[in-house]
Amino acid sequence: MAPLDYISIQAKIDSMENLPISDLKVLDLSQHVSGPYCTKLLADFGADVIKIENPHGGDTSRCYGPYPEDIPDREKSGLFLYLNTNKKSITLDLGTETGTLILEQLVPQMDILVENLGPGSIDYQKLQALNPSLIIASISYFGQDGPFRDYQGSDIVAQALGGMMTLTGLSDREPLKLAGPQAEYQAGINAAIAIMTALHFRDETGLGQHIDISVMECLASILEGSLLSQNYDGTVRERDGARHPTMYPSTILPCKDGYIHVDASTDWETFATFAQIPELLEFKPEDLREKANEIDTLLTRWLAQYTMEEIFHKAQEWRLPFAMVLGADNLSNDPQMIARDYFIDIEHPVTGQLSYPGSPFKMSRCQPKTGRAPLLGEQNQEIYCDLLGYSFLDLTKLSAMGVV
Amino acid sequence: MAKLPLENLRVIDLTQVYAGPLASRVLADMGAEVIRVESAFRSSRGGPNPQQGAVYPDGNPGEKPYNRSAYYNELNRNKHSISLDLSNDQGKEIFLKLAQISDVVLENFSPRVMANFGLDYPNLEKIKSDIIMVSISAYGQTGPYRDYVSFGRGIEAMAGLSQTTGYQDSQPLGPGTAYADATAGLHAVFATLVALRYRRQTGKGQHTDLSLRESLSALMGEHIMDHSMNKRSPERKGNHDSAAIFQGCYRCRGDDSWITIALHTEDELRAFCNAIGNPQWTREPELESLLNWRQNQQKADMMIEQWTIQKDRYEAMKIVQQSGVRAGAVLDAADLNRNSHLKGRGFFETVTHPEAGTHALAGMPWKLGQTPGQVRMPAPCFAQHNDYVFAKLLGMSKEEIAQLEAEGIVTKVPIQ
Repeated sequence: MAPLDYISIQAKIDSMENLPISDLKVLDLSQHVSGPYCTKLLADFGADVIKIENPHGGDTSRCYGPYPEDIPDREKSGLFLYLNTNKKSITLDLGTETGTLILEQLVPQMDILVENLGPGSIDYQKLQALNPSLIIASISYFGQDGPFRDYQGSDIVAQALGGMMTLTGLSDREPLKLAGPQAEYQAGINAAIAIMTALHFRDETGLGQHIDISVMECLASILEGSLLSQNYDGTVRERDGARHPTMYPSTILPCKDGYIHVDASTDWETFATFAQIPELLEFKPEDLREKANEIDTLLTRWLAQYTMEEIFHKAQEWRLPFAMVLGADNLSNDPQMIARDYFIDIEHPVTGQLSYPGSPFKMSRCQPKTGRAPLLGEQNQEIYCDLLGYSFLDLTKLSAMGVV
Repeated sequence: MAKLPLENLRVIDLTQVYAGPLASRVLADMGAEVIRVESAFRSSRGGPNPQQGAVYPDGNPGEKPYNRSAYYNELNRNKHSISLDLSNDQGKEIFLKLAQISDVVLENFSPRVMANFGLDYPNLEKIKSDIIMVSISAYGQTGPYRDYVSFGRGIEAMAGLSQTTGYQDSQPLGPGTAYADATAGLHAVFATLVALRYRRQTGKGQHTDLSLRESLSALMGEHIMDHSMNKRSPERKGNHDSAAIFQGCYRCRGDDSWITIALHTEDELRAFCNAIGNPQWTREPELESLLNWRQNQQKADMMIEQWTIQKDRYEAMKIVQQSGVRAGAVLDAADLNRNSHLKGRGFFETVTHPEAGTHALAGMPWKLGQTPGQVRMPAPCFAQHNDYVFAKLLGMSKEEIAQLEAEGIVTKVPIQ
């Protein structure tokens, strides 16, 4: 057994009830990816998340794939199912007067409210008066103020304006977005951190606050060397395919059965000896980046004789940070992912059992919850009747009015 | 000045490169007292000689390059620095004393290193039962790859992001920044705050095992679900990687000048066509609906670019945005620095470092209404806070500190 496996053992000993934030109630007015990833993190670690979905179809991510066999079904969207584990769903039309009234009835019972409805959609002063310890996280593409405030955003727009796209792709072609809604995910993790920070302050002082999270700024905060090169020595970093902007080789090249990330950025001599290509040693370390095309050709010829697996493990024996370029199909049977029980099986009444990505990290005393995403309006009765005290008849009326 | 949200916390920071320092920087920005414990032999900021790949102010490493590295200074603002040799028994003893008065230990060594020092979680827990430790590594603390080495770019490949990031007709390219590091660092902050909340509730500390690969895989949700549902692996789709949205990146007037445009609904499609003056091609039957646009993406892209190429990227953005449609110019670092919106929001903060000069840096990643955080101090010079930590926090005498310096356990200058 690996030396540090006490982590999984200890987590199993401590009970599921022992989750770090199981005392918190979260009202989730967000949809699509950014807000839902934030509230997924909170829900997976124990928070009671009540997701408000519009009665006319629910969260927009229900209309995005992937779907089983590509047949659209609001209860089967892979994006929605993944992002909404362990949450409750109620339907409520916030655009109606009754909807606003019900929202105001829920707010005093909540610790946290998360929204991505757009700047100015939430009257913080009013909600704070109802509940002074409420923490509100507002996620928007450009933030709650500034000249771009009322512009419309989306993932690709934020990746462009946030400085990420100009760095990705080939130099002679159009800038490229990172695959998947990465800008939105970044905003989600930032919102979760911001909420936990505000919660720490609230635990000390009892005071809530309003958090303003801009998707564009979340990306502009993680540009690594790009901003600092510009600000310290005036260099503008440009996209150059898979190559690292300053170090070479740190790039992706073809091999026998796919692609491999080749990396000698730590130690050129060890790399050259390992590769057993005598010509490599003729290049001086300081000239490598400039001679990249020439060296790529030599390396591609050398790599053609190996499969990804072969060259990956061989290089790692020399402590060279090679990596395989894998797809989702490879991950599900990856020995490291399996050994660490990364994937979790979750049962769902409409899709049946599916394998989901697991927790982004492992804690020695807390094992995250493994519940499924809710059906649209699945907890209407529980929240409207049991929590807010409406009768079944009221609920039927609200439903007939289209509010619920 | 408003109170800072995390100001009663003390964090020992043993991290290097990008993921770990970013994590401790967020904690420091929000008010935690972060103390970097640095080794003279592997200081991560280099020694008396300039570091390969480092960026220095105006390209000049100066006499003490280790205090002028832009990477280091960006990632370590608001932190303290001490030097300490952890491979030495006395050094370890001092570290344990510091751990006794701290809340969190953050590290991103290879998994065997902390155990080799005798400073792994079981040992730390013995001297402080409620200590919180967060270990960041490439592949995790367990499993067959635990001792494998990788930087962020390797992890982007191993997590499936490089495979899907690229043009339809290109090889896999991956992101142009160390995206996996940033993602891991931010998840590590969340893990730290969750563990702190658990300690507040139960009085118990714990150890978090965070791998770059797993934290990045969490952002590949729909790809993994697609495989789970349909046993297929997503292909590279360039800028068109959404099944429900029409989107693309188009050349504008000028050198390397681009705009992104995204259409989510039929209404937006019509608004966009209006905004660009309803040219004849938008009325062709094969481009009637959003679904048609997606099916004939290549043609639609070509026609859109005939419009964008005549426009400056900001002008095009303004026209499209004014019609209520999502559009954004592609900005680089120089553009971001000049950007009126970021200026208006106070995104950049100007910081003066005693040896590296005055520079603008990206400020707080988000704004907490009551307790916004701020850049309170520049990154520390090497060993700058030895006296504060050894004398003030740990109560050591001048003689004791001098003795440690004489024995090389504590140094004033990094060796490499």
